[in-house]
Amino acid sequence: MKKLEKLLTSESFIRYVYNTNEQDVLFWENWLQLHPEHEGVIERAKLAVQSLQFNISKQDDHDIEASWNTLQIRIRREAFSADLEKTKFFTPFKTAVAFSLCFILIITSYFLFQYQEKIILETGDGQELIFKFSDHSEVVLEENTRVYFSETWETDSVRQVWITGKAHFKVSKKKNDTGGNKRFEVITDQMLIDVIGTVFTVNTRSGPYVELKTGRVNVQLVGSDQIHKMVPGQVARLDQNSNLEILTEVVPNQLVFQDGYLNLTNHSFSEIIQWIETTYFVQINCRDVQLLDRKVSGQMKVENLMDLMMVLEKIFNISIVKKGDVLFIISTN
Amino acid sequence: MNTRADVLESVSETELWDSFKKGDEVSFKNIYFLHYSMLFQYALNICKDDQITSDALQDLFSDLWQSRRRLAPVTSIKAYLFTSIRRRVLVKLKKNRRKQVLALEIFTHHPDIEFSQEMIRIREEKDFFRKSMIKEALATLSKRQREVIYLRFYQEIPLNEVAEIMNIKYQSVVNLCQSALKVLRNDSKLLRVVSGEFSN
Repeated sequence: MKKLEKLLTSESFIRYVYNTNEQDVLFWENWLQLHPEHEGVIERAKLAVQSLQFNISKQDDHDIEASWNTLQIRIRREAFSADLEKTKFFTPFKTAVAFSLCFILIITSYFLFQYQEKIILETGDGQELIFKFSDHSEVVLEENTRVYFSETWETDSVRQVWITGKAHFKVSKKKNDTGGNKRFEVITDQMLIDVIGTVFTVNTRSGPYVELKTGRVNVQLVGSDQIHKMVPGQVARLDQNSNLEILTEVVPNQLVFQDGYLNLTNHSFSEIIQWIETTYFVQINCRDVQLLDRKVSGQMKVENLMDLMMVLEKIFNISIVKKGDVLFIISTN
Repeated sequence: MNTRADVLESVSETELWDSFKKGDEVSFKNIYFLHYSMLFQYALNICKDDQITSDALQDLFSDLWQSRRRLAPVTSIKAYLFTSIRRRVLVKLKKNRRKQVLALEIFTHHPDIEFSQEMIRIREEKDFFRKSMIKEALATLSKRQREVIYLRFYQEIPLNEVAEIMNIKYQSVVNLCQSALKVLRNDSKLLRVVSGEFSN
């Protein structure tokens, strides 16, 4: 009887009841002919199994898609946090001794690991760096800018680049193993920029944070689930409360520093001062309103702040005096 | 048009899992979309709470992606995911209970699986009387018997994988399945209802 019980729970019996396998149906029909005394039990067992037929309820496709999108955002954010919030790697231990030892060990390992894993590009005052990635994407770092990425960048499923400062990106489309477009992400301490084949600028200092020239990018504030799509000509800015706003207004006439030259197109002295302050992290004091409004066009070679000051002194007929950390502009007219 | 399931028919579980482990997002997405719905049903049936279910699923797949390189090979992705979601939901329930009631409360690790009338399939879908008869019969089973029946017949998971999910021996699962079917077989009211369904 125990053997029969076992047979009635077997996959073969279930397939026979549901008529899903010809061999099982034949086996059980033969078995019944050989054991007609069990016909009643078999009939009851069949009905018991037949009672276990269910309607499979399915989640709404939109709900699954929405949860997938939420998951993607979370994964990106966690990858981002894991890189910046180093303290998250450390967990408390029960004893102070164990905690200290493990803490030191983890910090050491982490920094060793990080050091070996990252490729760092950095520019100083007046420097510019053009870097071409293995996938033919290109980044131009302006002064005082730091860009880094993983050593395994080429084989990573998402091409991720971290930046502080200002850089211009030209991203090449690349297919992944399954034929889809491989994502390119630029990450700052405030924003995540998701890109596919695009030319754009990221600036973590002042002014427009992201400027899109061609293609399409999605931008997302760190800690926010909201994704903003940008189209060419748009700029993404952070307001005073660090809220993200996407503007379609024309980008203001900006100073362009390229190939070691500062290109001026009817720029005021005030705009030049602002550029120097944000680029060289100096404070400039000028009280001459007329001088601040004077405009100039042209190109000047800039290798360092001193050179630039000398050129400005000649162009605007001024003297620049350094007192402490502040540069004072004195008009000589 | 080929569905996701059609496309995946040509790919073995091992290939799909290996590809996901290597960081292929498409494979990860396929795993997600193939199993999300059934995992949701199972998790919801265990905890009866939409929020806990959604959170547990997000945690599961997020951790899965983050730790993909360290994951061991699996023979059944479905069994792996069901094992994992079961554990996670039970842990979440346990934590919530600890917050709500005295620490002395004994927490049972046997989920209280329920079979709703909507889940029960009969020829006349609107025959609530028959559905409620079958529902009542299933409710007479023990918690563990119900979970075995749910996983084997609703989720269509083989008994050896059910054992893995419930973290008990294969023979225990077989015994639970046998005893559950025996209970149903001896329920004359149930058999009358079912025989009416299949008599034509």
